[in-house]
Formats: sequence, structure tokens, C-alpha cells
Amino acid sequence: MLKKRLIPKLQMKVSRMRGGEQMVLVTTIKFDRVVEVGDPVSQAKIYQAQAADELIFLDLAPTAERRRGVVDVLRKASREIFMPMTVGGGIKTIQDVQLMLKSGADKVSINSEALHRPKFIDETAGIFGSQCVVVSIDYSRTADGDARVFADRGKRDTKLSVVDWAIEVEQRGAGEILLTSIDRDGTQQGLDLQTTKEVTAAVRIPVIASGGCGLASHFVDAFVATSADAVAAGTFFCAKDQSPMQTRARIMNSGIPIRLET
Amino acid sequence: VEVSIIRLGISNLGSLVESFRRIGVSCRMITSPQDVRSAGILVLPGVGSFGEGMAAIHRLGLQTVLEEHARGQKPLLGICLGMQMLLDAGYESGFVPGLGLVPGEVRRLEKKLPGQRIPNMGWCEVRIRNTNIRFFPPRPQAFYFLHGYECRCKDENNLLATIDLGYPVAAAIGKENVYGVQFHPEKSQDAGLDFLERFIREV
Repeated sequence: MLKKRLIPKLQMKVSRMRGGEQMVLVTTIKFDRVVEVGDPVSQAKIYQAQAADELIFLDLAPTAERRRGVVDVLRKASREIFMPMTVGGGIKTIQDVQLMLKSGADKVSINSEALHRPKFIDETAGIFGSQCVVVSIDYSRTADGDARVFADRGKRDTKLSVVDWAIEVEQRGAGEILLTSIDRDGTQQGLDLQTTKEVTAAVRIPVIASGGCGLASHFVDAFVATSADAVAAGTFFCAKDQSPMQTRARIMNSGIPIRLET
Repeated sequence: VEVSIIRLGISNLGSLVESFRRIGVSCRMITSPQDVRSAGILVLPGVGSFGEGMAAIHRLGLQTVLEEHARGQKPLLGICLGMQMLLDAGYESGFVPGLGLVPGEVRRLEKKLPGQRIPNMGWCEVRIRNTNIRFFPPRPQAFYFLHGYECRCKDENNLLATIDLGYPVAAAIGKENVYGVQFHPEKSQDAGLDFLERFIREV
């Protein structure tokens, strides 16, 4: 019997502070506010020590020229981390996928490009196998109550229904869905169980529920009330772990110079 | 002891190399038929589809030397797709012949449990079928699986360990000196390192 998975989500961005290529770990609130909290590889090692089941690395502000940052993180992590790693953010071409897998990712998560050009899912699955293709779906409930898919980090309403899109990505060869509620992101108010239930009932591939975990009971709720296979959380795992790293990062984010590396 | 890991192209072998290093085993990455000929313990990892994997083996000209390695009674360990390619054929990319080192075929996983997702992705407890094989500790352990297809061995005796997906699915297979595991030891944290250590010791 397959076990449910707990997946820390390591969201990353090129640091504003260091002015370089270095990726820092961040958390977000409703996809909008960004808070720098630490170093992704160090945090990944802590998660490994805490026996997380796998890790998701997301590059929140990817640009074609700035691939080095995320590649660097993957290379370092793959030497230290003995658990599966998924990477996402700005994956647009077969070359991108290849580069990520070569750098240490086991799965890639594709999002906006899949919405822009759905065939990209078929192509990626055809070459690398469905098991390494995660389609990330960000959605928001509109005023009329529909759960609709948003592209480009929540900026563009695609008008697609979440359930319809989930079914389509499965048919096109996605091996897994990372389902994220933009409305709940970073709020720590609990997962959107209703949509998670609808999506998990509509597809046969594994679904990772994400967005809104603030209590351990929120994970339990998802596993009890829906057939989600995994829950991913960024803020929760970062904020509940009162490590010196977070404390230092918080100080640094207030503009006070402090050593971030350990 | 030195382990030779075949690099087929697309996958990153960092975790695998580092896993061996952690258990004190040196390893090298190889791609050429000459390197396979001189290998002692050979590891065939693999990520991707069956068709792409076999195409890479042919492109590198490795089919014959892998057959020789197996006949020469030298240990071979296939991991994930590397395990699946040990069999006679796969159906992931239409019918594609495999290496034919262990009799059987690679077929899509069946959905027998109500909540079962395909691909099977995550941690599953492995049940040992053949206790003569000492690659696994006596207590059951969970390993990380990531697969949509399964090895169906023709000869039940080649099935060393299984996971339960409503029916037994091959987790480890073996025929003489040729072994395969469906899970990823290099992604299975301590259980994975322990498996690799036992494997190296026992073969």
C-alpha cells in the first residue's frame, strides 16, 4: 500500500540582497508578497533530516539567462539529498527539462507553458516518461464561485475550469498534478478541500494538494476528506521550524545586515 | 570493490554516486562497450521511457557487452527503468525488445485498489519472497517507487520481492547474477543506503 507523502515546497528566487545569481528560499502569500527565509540547499538538508518524503523546488522568477541559480541548487542538493526532487518554474522547452533532469531533478513541474501550448505535456511525457512529468495547476475561486486555472504565477485567468484542465493534462500524459489554491497560499487557514476532492475524484494520477497549511491538522484533513496522495507546503514547514536559519533570515529581511550562511 | 555505473544520457547520477560514496564504495561512470567489458559490479540506472532507454543502449552499442557481462557471472543491478530493460520486451512506447537477460515482459500497472494511482509514486513497503536473498533486512522497509509500468517475470523464481498494489507487483527481481529493483535506492534515504550496502556485500 502506497503511503501518503509530505512534501516541503522550496520556493526560490534570486536574492535581492546579494545582487548575484544565488537563489534564496522564500515563502509567498496569495502569490503576491514574497518573504526571504533562507538557503534552499541547507533547508533541504534539514528536511531530509526530518524525513520528508520528497522535495519540490520552485523557481518563482525564472528567466532564460538565470538558469544557473536553479541548476546550481539542484546539483548541490543531488549530492546531499537521498530523496526525490521535483523542480518547476519557467520550464518551457525539452532542453529545459533535459537540463533539470541532468542537474539532479527526478521530476519536472510544468505550468504556464502547458497552458500556453498543451502539446508540451505530450512531448515531455513521450521523451522522459509520464512518471517524471508533474503538471502544476494554480487556481483561484472567482466571484461566481468557479475554481479557475490561472497562468503566469496567478496573473492570467485562463477561464479554464480546474477539473477540466486536470482531466486534459492526465490524458496528455502528465504523471502527477500539483494543485495549488492561490487564495489559500501562505494564509495558513487550511487547504481547499472542496476543489481537492473534485480534482482527485476526476483523475487517476496522483494529486498533491497545496496552499494553506497552517496546522498539522490541515494535512490530516486533506488525507481524510479527499483522496490526495500528498500534501505540499512551503510556509508551514518553513515557519514552524524555528531554526536559526529562519530567525536570521527574518532579521535580514528587515534590512538588518546579518550572516545568512551557516 | 568498485562499481561501474552506466550513464545512458538523460538522468542525473549524482545521488547514486553519492550513495555509493556514503557506504564506502568507489564508483565510476561509464558509457562505452570497452568500459562495460572491464567492469566488475555493473549498475544500470535509468529514467525515461522504455523505448528511449533501449534506444540509448543501442546508440552506445551496449547490448552485446551487457549480454557478455551477464554470461560472465559478473553482478549486474538494474534500477527502475534499468530493471525493466533487463526483460525481453516493453510496451510503454509500443512493442520494444529489451535486453532479454531475465525472461518476462514490462506491462502497464493495473488498477486493482480503489485509490490506486498510476503511475505509482511514493513509498511502499517491500515484501520479501525469497529469503535466500539477503539484500533486505528481516524487518519490512519502505522504499521510494516512481513507475507506471511493472516487470512481469515468466519464471516466478525470478521474483525476489514485491509490493502490494492490490496484487503483487515486482519490487526486486533476480536471475543468477542479474538483479533489478523497481524502487530507487538512491532516493530511499537510509533504507536505500542499507540496501546498496547489503547488495555490494552479498554479490
